[in-house]
Amino acid sequence: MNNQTNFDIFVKAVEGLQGKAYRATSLQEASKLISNLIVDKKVRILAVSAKILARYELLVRTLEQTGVIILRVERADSQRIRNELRYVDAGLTTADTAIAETGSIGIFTENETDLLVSALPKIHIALIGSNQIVHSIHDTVQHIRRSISEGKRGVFSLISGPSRTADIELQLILGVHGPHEVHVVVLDGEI
Amino acid sequence: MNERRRRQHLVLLNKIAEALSDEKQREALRNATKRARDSKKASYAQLSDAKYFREKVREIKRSSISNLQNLLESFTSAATARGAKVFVAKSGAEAIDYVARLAEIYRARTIVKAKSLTSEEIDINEALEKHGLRVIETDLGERIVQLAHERPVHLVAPAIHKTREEITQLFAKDVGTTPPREIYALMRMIRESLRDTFLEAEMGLTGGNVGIAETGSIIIETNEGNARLVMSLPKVHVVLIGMEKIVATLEDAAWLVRAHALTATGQKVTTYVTILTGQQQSEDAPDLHIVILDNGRTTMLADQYFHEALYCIRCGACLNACPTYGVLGGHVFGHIYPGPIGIPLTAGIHGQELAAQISPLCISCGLCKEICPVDIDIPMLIARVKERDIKENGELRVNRLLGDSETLAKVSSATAPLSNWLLRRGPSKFLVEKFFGIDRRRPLPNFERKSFSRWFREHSFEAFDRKVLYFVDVFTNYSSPKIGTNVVQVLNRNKIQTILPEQKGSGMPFISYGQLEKARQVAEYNVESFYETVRDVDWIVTSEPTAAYCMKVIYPTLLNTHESRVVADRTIELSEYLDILHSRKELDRSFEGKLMGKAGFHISCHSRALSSGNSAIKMLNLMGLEVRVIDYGTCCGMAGTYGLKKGKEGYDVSMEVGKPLFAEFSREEVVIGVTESSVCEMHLEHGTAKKFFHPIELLAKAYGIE
Repeated sequence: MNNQTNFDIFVKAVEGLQGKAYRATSLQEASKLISNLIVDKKVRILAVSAKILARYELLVRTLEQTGVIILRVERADSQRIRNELRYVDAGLTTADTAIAETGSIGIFTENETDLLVSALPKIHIALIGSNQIVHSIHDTVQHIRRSISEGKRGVFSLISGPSRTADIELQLILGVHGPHEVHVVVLDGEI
Repeated sequence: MNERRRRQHLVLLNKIAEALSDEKQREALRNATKRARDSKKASYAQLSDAKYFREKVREIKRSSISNLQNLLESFTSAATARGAKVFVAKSGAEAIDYVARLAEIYRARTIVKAKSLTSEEIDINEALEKHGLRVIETDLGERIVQLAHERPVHLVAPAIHKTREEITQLFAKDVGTTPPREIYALMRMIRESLRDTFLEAEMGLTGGNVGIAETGSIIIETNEGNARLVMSLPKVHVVLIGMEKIVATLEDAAWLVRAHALTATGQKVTTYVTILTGQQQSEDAPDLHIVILDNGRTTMLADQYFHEALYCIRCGACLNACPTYGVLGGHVFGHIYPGPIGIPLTAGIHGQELAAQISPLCISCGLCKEICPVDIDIPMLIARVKERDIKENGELRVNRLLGDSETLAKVSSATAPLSNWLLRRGPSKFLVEKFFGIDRRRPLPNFERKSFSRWFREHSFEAFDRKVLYFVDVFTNYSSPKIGTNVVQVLNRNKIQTILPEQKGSGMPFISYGQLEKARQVAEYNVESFYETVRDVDWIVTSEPTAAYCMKVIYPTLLNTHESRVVADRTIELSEYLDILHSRKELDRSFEGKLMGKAGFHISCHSRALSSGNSAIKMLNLMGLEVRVIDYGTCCGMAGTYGLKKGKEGYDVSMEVGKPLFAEFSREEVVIGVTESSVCEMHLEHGTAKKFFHPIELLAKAYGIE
């Protein structure tokens, strides 16, 4: 299955879950996209994951120009970061894999603070490359195994849209404990 | 039934009475279970090969369970090698002790929990609260029932019996502010208040949906996102997981993750699937303790029948299919694990006595087995619980009587028309209710002096090359011989000879009441008799779906012999047989388009394991009738002799179960009702003003046979 088809299926699946997916042909375009998102959603404090900080300093600086306060989650300096994460409006992370069929993104983290960037805030923005989108859950198994084989440790989080419940009178409500909004920015190629 | 057991049984009847009077809960349950049935059906319909999917998932559970001790060892060493602490708790008490000691070590005052049925199994909340700990459920449904001091009413949706108003009040009382009316505002309030709790709790306790032996990983699935917080924020994270949840590889786990979502909620995957592998090494990472629970599972593993209950993936589908659960709910139909699978699980974990007490709620419709994603033979497991209960405590007189419904029918037939006259009289109905436990409101079937088998033997029929063996069963033989007559006549018109070997009724009531020895005897008799002639006939046909179900599904399980499997293979529902002949252009087509009118069709439960009524529907359409299938995906409630029983023993529940069907069939647009099952017909005629027919009666009419 070629990547364009995977992308189309992925977008449709994400939207079916009330998430949003965007295509960016360049890092510049992605930066602009995310900046607009930050401004639109009136994000005052944005948490940025270690992987984003390590690879996309340019992106982070573009975002800073919007006036948003960046919380750099670069070390697991947990107690401090944790306390600050609580007041964060949005979290920006990379994703390691995405599944077209289910509209899911997969994120591997090795410390709990990194995980919290996509778990605590109301808005989650994830950056992924179009080459990383596979078709089904079964296609991600090898990737997951590589991360945790040979005694390695960590948490692989598969996230499919915003958090939800139907526990009250079976009515579907979005935005329970996890994020209310999930925005996936798909960059052509690899990230 | 002995006195002690009888007293327990009366408690059950009282609970049934209470549930039947709670119309609000009943409506909520009915809606919730119907929606869940429909969404499971829809999600499985989207699979490219649903049959393969089911076989694959079952095979994974089967091989994991058969290799569980090894997997447990592999899991433990893989997890330990990655820094996790693993403790195998032989009992609930051991697990509770371990967690309580941990709480002491970490000086925990508050424990946040993500949903864990396993934790409810051992009643850990109550025990930890006794140790002075504050235990807060964070899954919304669980938090609601926690605040209400109730047990969950459904596996997947614990609080669906609560209205929005009730829920709002519960949270308002908890948080101490005026409740917002609007649902999103209510959610915001709950999220905010629980956020504080997440951040201050010292310990997090989650369940585990899957354990993976190759890497020592634990998979935790939620839609709300609460588990990710419970496992990341506190100082210590405890996973409580039943040992049967462990599978060998990531590949195996992926199938189960899909099955959970597809079956429980109709989703392709649960919103958050978190695969936790080992102790994370950052400075503030929670200390990971994995408590693997035995609590009776090892004993179940060794049991030749009950190990199959360990295949359960906790999807809740059987609850959604179960007719009695659907009107009574988990407070009646359950100890801690509710519904159909709850009975064998309770037997293995909490003991036979508790399981036996709820076992009468199973009416042997078989729908749980049909919907189970892992194809567990839940009905048979429940029958074995009933069998053991009889051995230990005896049985109800009415069950003993109705189990042998064939003898009852035989006697009533032999004494007809006097028996009919008597059974219609007020005073005798009153006596029959008082002494035999058959509800006086239930119109009993008519019994014919001349049974079908007598009629058959008194006539000679033309011999044809093509022959079928006819399995008549009790109702057609003694109450509705006209159906049997129509069968023979229609087959005769098509140059097919009917053979009627020695036979007994199917014996299904024996199964329903757990009288398995008697069931076995009937099965042996019928199989032996049919096996003799099976080579000389095309097929073994029956006009009664329950008879086909017994022959094809029950007898081979009971007997486990070559003969029973051969006979099962050669058995087919009459309508499916006629459908095949028609498709092969071997059926006389003069019946086509000969009838007119609007018919409502009811699919009987036992037919859902076979043709699902599709062949009958096709034939009815060919006859010229306008057929509307009236299907809620569950039972009419009669379940053989169950609906005959007095009050809360059967009649009242059966009438409640049948309500939606009664309403639909009563509508003006439905002129006649059609169903293949004799007992469904009885029940639906009683609950509506309509006349019901068996398809073969209409086919005979269409052929001009009278």
